[in-house]
Amino acid sequence: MEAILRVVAMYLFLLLVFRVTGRRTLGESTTYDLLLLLVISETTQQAMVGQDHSMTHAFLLIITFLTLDVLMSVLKQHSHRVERILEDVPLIIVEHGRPLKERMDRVRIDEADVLEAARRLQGIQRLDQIKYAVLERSGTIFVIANDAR
Amino acid sequence: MAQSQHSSGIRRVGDLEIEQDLVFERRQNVVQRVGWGIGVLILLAAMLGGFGDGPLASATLRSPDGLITLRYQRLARDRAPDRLRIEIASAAIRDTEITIGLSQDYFEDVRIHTITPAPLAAEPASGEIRYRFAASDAPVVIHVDLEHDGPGSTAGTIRAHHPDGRHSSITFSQFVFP
Repeated sequence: MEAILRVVAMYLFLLLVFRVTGRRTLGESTTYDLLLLLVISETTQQAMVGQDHSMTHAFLLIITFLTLDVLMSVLKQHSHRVERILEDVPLIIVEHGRPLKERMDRVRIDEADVLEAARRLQGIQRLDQIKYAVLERSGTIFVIANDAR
Repeated sequence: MAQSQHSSGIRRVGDLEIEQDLVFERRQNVVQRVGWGIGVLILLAAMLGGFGDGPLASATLRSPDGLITLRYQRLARDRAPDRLRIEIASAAIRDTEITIGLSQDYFEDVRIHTITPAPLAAEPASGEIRYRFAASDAPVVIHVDLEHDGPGSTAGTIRAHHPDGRHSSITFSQFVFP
């Protein structure tokens, strides 16, 4: 029983921590973010597996995690409010070439981040070529160019 | 920015149909900042030993007659190593030996790894495990290295058996974080 409780506690804790630190944490895949992800995953695994390396324990942990995940997605499906709380909402941060500074400050993004995403995704060279830049729920920035319909 | 709302939160913002919700976004930001503050407080508490392993967690107890001095962690963590430092005054020594007892209840909650110095014998007797150690004239210091086996409150009693049949005891309690 303790094993299952650990998984549930860990799942909820990770959900809480990642929502509180905001989507920019681990949102962009820089080398440092990957490292952070590795460290977190190792720490989580050690706390959950403990001394029990049996297959049964492994199966139970995985099943519990996946069941929780399915439960969450069902909850999200049923309630838009729950979905917002669990997953965040997208945010427009550049509109018709104009960076929306107040919003960008709140989500800790600067113009350089937007331009980098624009270059990477669409080969865009300048801010005025951007129609919309959106900070998605995942933490990545998606850019829509001016000539898009 | 013209907005109109569809079901499921998708709004029309200019040319974009998007689930943006600025009110929620602002509220969320406030909650996040509060969360960061709490995170910093947790960090500070942890550094001070509030979750074990630090000045807030360490404690020393002495028996009324001063025979036993125990240094231990009031706050500890599950499956983490821990140590009891037991010092027995030389008045408890009889025939170059001392006997101390550790309550049986405590063993339900911990796994003892090593006792240093190694005891001469370990015997169960009246609700405790009695350890006999070789001793000279100086106060005897015993280190019990253990691991906690389960979260929650735990308590133990240490008894030093006097040569004349009396005993001194210390009762200590620990809170073990999961």
